[in-house]
Amino acid sequence: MTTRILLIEDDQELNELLSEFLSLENFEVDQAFDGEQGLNMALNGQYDALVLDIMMPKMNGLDLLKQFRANNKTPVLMLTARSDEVDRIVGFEMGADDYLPKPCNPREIVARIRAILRRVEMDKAGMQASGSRQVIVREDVELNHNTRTVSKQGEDLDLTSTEFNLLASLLEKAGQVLSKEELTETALGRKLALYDRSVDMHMSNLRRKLGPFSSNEPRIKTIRGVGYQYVIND
Amino acid sequence: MSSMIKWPLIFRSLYWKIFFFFWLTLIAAIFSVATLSEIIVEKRDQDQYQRVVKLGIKAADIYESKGSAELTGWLRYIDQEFAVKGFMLDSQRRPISLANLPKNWLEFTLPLTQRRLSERNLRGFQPYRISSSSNRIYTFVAHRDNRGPYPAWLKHLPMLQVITALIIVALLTAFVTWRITHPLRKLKQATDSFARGNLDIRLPDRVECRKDEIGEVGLAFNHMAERISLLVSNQQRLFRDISHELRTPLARQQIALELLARKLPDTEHQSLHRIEREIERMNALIDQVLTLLRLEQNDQSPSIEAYDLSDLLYKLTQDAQFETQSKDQIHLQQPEKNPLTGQPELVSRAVENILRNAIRYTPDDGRVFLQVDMHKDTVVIRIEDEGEGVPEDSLKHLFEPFYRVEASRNQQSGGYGVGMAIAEQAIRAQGGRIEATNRSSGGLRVDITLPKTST
Repeated sequence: MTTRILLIEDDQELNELLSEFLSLENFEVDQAFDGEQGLNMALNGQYDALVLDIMMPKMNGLDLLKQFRANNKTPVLMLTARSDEVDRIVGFEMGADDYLPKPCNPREIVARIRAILRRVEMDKAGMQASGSRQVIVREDVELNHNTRTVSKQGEDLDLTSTEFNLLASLLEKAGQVLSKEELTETALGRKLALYDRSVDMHMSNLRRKLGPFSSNEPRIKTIRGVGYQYVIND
Repeated sequence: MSSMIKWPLIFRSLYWKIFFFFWLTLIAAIFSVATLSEIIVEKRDQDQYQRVVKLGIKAADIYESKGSAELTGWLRYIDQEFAVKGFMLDSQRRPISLANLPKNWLEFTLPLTQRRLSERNLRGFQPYRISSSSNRIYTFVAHRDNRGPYPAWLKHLPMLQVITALIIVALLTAFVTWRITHPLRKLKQATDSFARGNLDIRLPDRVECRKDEIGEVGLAFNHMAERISLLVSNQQRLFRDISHELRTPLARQQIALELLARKLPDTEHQSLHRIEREIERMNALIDQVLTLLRLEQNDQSPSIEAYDLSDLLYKLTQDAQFETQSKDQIHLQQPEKNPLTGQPELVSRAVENILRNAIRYTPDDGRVFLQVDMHKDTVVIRIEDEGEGVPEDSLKHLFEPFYRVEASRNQQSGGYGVGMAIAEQAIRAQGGRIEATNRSSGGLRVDITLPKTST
């Protein structure tokens, strides 16, 4: 079974080179050269993953992502301008699964795509396999593995796939401290890299969407030098 | 006619301003002192005249009702009691009482122009025309004595004049000094601010619109500031554009290189790795340049947040330790908790850059020390290495982008690049400062001083 990737990148030459590289890595690659074309192809084709550049004419990557995410859960790897923190944060908010600063080593792009795909596989397998942990309820928060939805006080929360995975990991071991390494592996499906702040950024989005306990205490605590903990509120 | 147009311009120059100011101040002082004395003396005369006339009327009434003897008594009485010495003449200018009558009393009956006596001989005697209650006319010749019940402060008249003159001169001088020094102080503040990197500062129109020499200096400053900030922003834009433009070909190159690696036999991979490493180096450099430019422009509003410095430094040293691979090279000494407000992102970037340099210049068996000291309003992060240090005269250039300490320093370790410049900008952006010195025991010491709450 081949993996189909849609590469949305406005730089013609870069797009060609990257496609060639991804093809060598046994991906089946379709190319889009601007945001509009990219969105059309993404919505109409059956892709396993999207590689999305942010700076593009006609429609930029963030707008594309927003419209695409409205009713689509296909994993998206975002390519951001290297030093632009804001793009990254907004990108995660819009529902990107991982990001890579551009320019970057193409091997790294392949590794990230594989990681995302591996995680999606894991999620599917987990969904079929687990009988007992289909629904986790803790206080007013309910997490459903079957539908991959989370609700708080009966209201559905709009979480991205990565945020869902993070919350699932935290809730399963509520009260325990999970390390950043552990969380990166379970939620992003890859190893923690040096100066890697992906988990922290996803975590801050998750916190914001989840909100604090009614006592105004944070639900997710940061433990310095160790990781994160979902607090058991007695 | 042409001189009429030129005159105002001359008056506007600082030279004439100062000249006329002193001139006018002196005139004003003299004039006001003279006027003051005149007013006081006039008032005094007025009061005395009224008083003497009143006493004269009383004397006339006494004479009419009680006769000459009583009048003599009254005149003596007022001489003693009110220090008004006088004698009475009737309407035909004949004496009606002997009291106080001088020998030359006739003198006083003559019109002023015919008197033979000088003012001095008259000794202050002066005729007053008196009309009694029954409307008969008398002449009361009286001599006012200075012992009279005049206000006590009149004694201090000379002192008063001096004080008035001093106050007037002081006020005018204060005004003109302020007019001159105030814009100069504004100019100094603007220049200082400009020197600190606030290229947008301009002098207000109030200074610039003055038509004198100070206004000209203000105008010249604003022109200079305009020109420099334009040059700087052009240079920055060029720098930024070049950096951005370099990135795209590098990105393509990187992928092309990987494609090539697939096609070439493994024996060639070492050369490819070398090229790859160089590309990554260039990427990193471009990143740093862009970061520096963004910090220099400093146009985004700072996002001030509360953070724990100890936490931040702990993470940084963990990462750096991991990178150096050699165990226990970095020694961190800091309080358990250290809550601050500021821009943790920038602090982290600054410390990281300095830490990297420290590690790079320290031999593998050397150590790097990171120590945090708490002061009243500030926190000092001290980073020391056990390298060779830096020549004294290079210390102040250390924070300039791409500054290279002279050739004796190991070429392989490279220059300081833009890391130190980024650190300085990042610290300055939140009101802190950064200083480099040599340790007495060898090696470089960098002190970062941060305000506990930055604004």
